Amino acid sequence: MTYAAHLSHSQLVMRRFLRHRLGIFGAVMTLLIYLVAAFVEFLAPHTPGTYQARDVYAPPQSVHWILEGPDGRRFQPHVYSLRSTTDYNTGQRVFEEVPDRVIELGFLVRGDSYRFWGLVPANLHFFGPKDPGERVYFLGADRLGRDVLSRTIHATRVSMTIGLVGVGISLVLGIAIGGASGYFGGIVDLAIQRLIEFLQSLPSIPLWIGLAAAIPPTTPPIRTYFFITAILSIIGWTGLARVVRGRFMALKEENFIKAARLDGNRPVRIIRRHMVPNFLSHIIAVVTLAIPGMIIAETSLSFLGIGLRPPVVSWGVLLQEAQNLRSIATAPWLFLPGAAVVVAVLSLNFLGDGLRDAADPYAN
Amino acid sequence: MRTDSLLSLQGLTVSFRDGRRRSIALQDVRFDVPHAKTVAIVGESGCGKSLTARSILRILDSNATIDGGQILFEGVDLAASSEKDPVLRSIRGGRIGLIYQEPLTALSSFYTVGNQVTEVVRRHQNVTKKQARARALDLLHAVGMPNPAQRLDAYTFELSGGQQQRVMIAMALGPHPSLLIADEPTTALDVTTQAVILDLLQELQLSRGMSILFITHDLGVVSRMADEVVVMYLGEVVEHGTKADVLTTPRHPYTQALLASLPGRGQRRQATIPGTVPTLEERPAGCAFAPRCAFARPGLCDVQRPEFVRSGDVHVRCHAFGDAAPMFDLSSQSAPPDTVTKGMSRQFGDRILDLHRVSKTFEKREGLFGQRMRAIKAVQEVSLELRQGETLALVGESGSGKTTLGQTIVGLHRVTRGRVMFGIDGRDRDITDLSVGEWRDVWQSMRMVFQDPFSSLNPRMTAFDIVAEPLRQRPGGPPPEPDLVRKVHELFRLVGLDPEMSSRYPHAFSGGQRQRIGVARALAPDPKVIIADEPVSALDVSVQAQVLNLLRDLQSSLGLSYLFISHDLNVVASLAHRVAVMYAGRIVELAETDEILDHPFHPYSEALLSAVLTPGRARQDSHLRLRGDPPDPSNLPRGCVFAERCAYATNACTQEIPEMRNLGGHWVACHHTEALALQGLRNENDPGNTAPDP
Repeated sequence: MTYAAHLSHSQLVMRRFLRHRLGIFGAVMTLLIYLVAAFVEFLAPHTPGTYQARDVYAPPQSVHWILEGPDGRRFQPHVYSLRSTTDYNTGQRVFEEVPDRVIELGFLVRGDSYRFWGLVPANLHFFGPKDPGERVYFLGADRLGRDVLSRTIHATRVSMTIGLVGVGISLVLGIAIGGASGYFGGIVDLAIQRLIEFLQSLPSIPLWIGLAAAIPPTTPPIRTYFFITAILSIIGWTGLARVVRGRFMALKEENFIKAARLDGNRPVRIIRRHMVPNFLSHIIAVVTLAIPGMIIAETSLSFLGIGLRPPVVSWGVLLQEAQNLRSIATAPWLFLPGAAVVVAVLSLNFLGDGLRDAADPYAN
Repeated sequence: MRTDSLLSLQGLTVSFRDGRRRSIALQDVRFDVPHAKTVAIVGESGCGKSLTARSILRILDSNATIDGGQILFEGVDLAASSEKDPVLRSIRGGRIGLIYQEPLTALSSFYTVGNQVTEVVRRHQNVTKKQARARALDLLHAVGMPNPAQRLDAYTFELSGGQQQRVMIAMALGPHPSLLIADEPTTALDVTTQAVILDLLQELQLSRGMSILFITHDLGVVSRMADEVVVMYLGEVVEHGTKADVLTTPRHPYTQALLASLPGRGQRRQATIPGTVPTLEERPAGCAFAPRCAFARPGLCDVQRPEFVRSGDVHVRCHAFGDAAPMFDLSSQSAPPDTVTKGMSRQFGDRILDLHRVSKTFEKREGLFGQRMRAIKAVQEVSLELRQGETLALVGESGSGKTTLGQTIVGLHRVTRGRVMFGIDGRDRDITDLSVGEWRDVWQSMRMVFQDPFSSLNPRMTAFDIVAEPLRQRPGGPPPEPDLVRKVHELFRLVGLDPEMSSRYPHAFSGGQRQRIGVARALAPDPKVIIADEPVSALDVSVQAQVLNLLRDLQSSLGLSYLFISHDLNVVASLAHRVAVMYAGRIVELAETDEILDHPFHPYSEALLSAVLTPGRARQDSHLRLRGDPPDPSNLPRGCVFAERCAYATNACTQEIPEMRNLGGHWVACHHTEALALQGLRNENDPGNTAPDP
C-alpha cells in the first residue's frame, strides 16, 4: 500500500495524472487554447472581416523591438510598412519593407471596434498598431487582404466549441442510450447495438455531405453551426454509448455491486451512488479523446465547403483558402489554421491519454 | 558452493526503483539447487519468491536491478551476463525451463497447441518441421495428455486447466532443461487436478534427472514435492534445510508460526501471526520479522540484522541461533498463546434455512439470432438444512455449482425449481420467489461475505460508508446519525479494526483488513445467517488464520449460522460442523465433518480427500487419481454425474441417477455405498496433529 491512506479516489486520480508529463503538457495547452477562444476579440489585432485591397497576399511582417530615434535607442516594438510593386515579368505583386516608415506597436491599444461576445461594444486590443488606422500582418494576409493571424484566432472559438457542443450532445445520447443498453440488457440491448452498428456502418463523409446539403443556403450562420454539431453528433454518440454500455456491464458483475444490492439499495441508487462514480473518470477521458474527432470532422466538412460557410470563421473555413496550388506556392502562411488544428488535436489527445491512464489509479 | 549444485545463488540482492526511491526487494539471497533434486521456495505473497525466479532468468521488470551477488548456473554467472548475451538466451527457456501459475495467460490463444510446442522445439534444436511435430507429439505423450495427436491441432482455450498446464510443461521440457522453475504451477488448479500434475512433475523429474525449483505458498505442496525447503520472508532467506528438518523441527520463528497457523481439525481457534507482511518501503530495521515475532528481544532484534547461521543441518537467519542464543528460549512459547480450545457445543438451535430440491438452470441463447436455447444446469435437486449456530460447509471444485447455489439462496439468482424456507423470528417463511421489496427484508437477516476482498468493496466509498450502507438502506429507514456512527464503530471493533481507520478508502487496507470490513458489512443489520463464499481463499496463510478465528469468535458470541463455501478441505476441516460435497451441481454426500473426512461414503469424496495435502500428510494414493474432467453442465450424463470418472462405476450408474439416501445421519447419493470400503484421511496422519499441540 504505497498510497497514502487518507486519499480519496479522485485525489488518487489527480495524483496519478500529475505524474503524466505529456498529460500535463496537454492540459496546459488545452487550457491556453480555450482561454484564447474565450477572448478572441481582445487577442486578435484586427477584426476578421476587415480587408485591404492593397495588402492582398501580403507576407508576414517581422516585429522589431528596439527603435533608434533622434533621442537614442528605446524599447518600442514596431514593424516596417510594406510597399507593393508589380513585377511585370511574372505579373506577381512583390512586397518590400520600407525601413523609414515605422508602424509603432503597443500593448492594450485602441483599434478596430468590436462587440465582445457579440454583446459589449469595445475597441481594446491586447497587441497591435498604436494608430488605429494602420494594419499589421504578423502572419501575412489572405487573398482579400485580411489578417491571417486575426482570422485564425477568431476561428479558435468556433472550432473549439463545435467540438464541445458536439461531444456534449453525444455524451447525453451516449450515456442515456448506452446506459439503458447495459443496464436492461436483453432485447433492449440487442436493438440498440444493431442500431449502433447500422449507424457506424454508414460511410460518414457522404452522410454528412447529404445532411449538410439539406441545410438551406439561406440559413443564418448561427443556425448552420447548430445544424452541423447535430449532424456530427448523429454518429459521434455511438462510440460513447458503447463505452458506457461496456462499463455498465462490467460493473454489474462486480462483487461490490452485488453487495450493494444485498445491502438493500434500489436500482436507481445503485446506479447513482455505486456505478456512476466508478466510471466517471473513464467517461471524462473518453470525452476528452472524442473532442479532437469532432474538431477534425468540422474541419473536413468546412474544408470541403459543406460545413460552415463564410462569413463564419472556423479553421476549416480558413483552410478552404489553402485549397489551390497558387496559394501553396505564393502564400504558404495560409496553412497556419492547419497548424492550429494539429496543436489543438494533439493537446487534447495528450490530455485524454493522461486522464485515461489516471482513471484507474489502482492498476500499475 | 556445494559440489553437487546445479544452480547456486550467492548473496543475490535486487532492488526496485520508484522515482528517486530505492527499495530492496531481495537481500543477500543464498541457496543451492543440487542436481536432480527439488528445492521449494515457500513464503507468503510479497516475500520475493517469484522475484527470485525472475532474477535467475533475468526477466526482471525495467525498474528492478540486480545490485549484487552471483547466480551460478552450470559455470556461468547469470547475474553478470548482459541481457542480450547469446549464452543467457540459450539458457533461458533452454537449459532452464519455466512454468507459470496461470497457464492460459502464458499460452497464446491464436495458435494451436502443436504450433506452440513445435516452435519451442525448433528454436532450440535444428530439426525440420516434420521432425519437430513428431517431437511435439512425443512431448505431449510424455506429459500424459489424453489423445495427444488430436490435441496437437486444438487451440489452448479448448483445453481444461490441467491440460493447459500439461502443454506448458511440455513446452518447458522441449529443449531438455536441466533445471525446471515451477512458479506456483498448481495454485490455479483444482485439488484433484493439482494431485495429477504434481505426480507428473515428480515422475518427469525421476525419468529425466532434472532439478526443480518449486515456488509455492502451500506448505502441503512443499511436503509433497520438496527435498529441500527455502523459507523466504520479505526478500530474505530466513531458513534453509532438508524437508524433514524444516517441516518437522522448524527453527526460525517465522517457519514455526507459519506451520502453526495452518488450519487443524475440530473447530478450534488457530494460532496466528499478528499483523501482515510489511511493504518493501516499510522494511523494519534489524530483523525483518521482528515486529511480528513472539520471541523478539528489544534492543537486539529490532536493531541488528541477524546473520545467516548454521544450526545442525539447517541454515537460519535468526539471533536465537547466533551468538546471542543464550538470550532466547524458543521452546518456552512454542505453544502459541492463541490456541485456546473453545468448547464448541454440538447443540444447535432451530432449523433456520431449509432447501428442498432446489435447482438453478441458466438459459443461454445460441446461434446467429439467439434462436436456440441451451440449458446450463448449474445446480440440481439440492436439499439441505442449516441450524442456528451451525457451520455447514459446501465443498466442491470449480464449476461444481457451489457459488451459484449460495447466490441463489440469497436471491441474486431466481430459483428455477424447488423451495427455500428461511426461519425468521421463530416462523418459517418461504423465500423461493420474492419481490425485490420482500428480499430487502430478508437481506437484513441473511447476509453474504464475498471471496475477493478487493472487488467486493466499492473503491469510491470510505470504509465507514461501506459498513454503514446496509444500515442506511434498511427497509425501515436509516437510524439517526449518532446511533449510526456508534453502531459502525462498534462493528469495526467487533471485527478487530480500529474505528479511527474508518475514514480511509479500501485501497489503504491490506487483504485481511478488507475481508474484516466485508465481515463488518455483513454483520451490520444483526443477521442470523451468513453465506460466506470462499472468504479466505484470496488471503495468505497467516492472515487466513486471523479471519477464520474471527469467524469462529463471532459464531460463538453471536450465535451465527454459516453456509461456508470453500474448495479447501483443510479450512473446512478446521471450521465446519457438517460438510456437503458438491459435484456437477449436485450434492453427492452430506454428513458431520469427521464422518466425511474419516469415512467417506461417496467415491468422489474419497478422491477429493486423497488429493488433500498437508505437511503431515504428504503421501498420496495415486490409484485414487481422477481421470478426465467434470461433465459439461449443459450436457450432463444420463445417470450418476460422477459415473464417467468413477473407479467403481457399473452399468446401473450410467443409467439411473442415484437418490440421496440417509445411512444413519450420513447422506449419500451413490448406488454402491454399502459395497465399497472407501478410504478417508487416516487418523494417524490427522492434519490437526501437525500443529504443535498444547
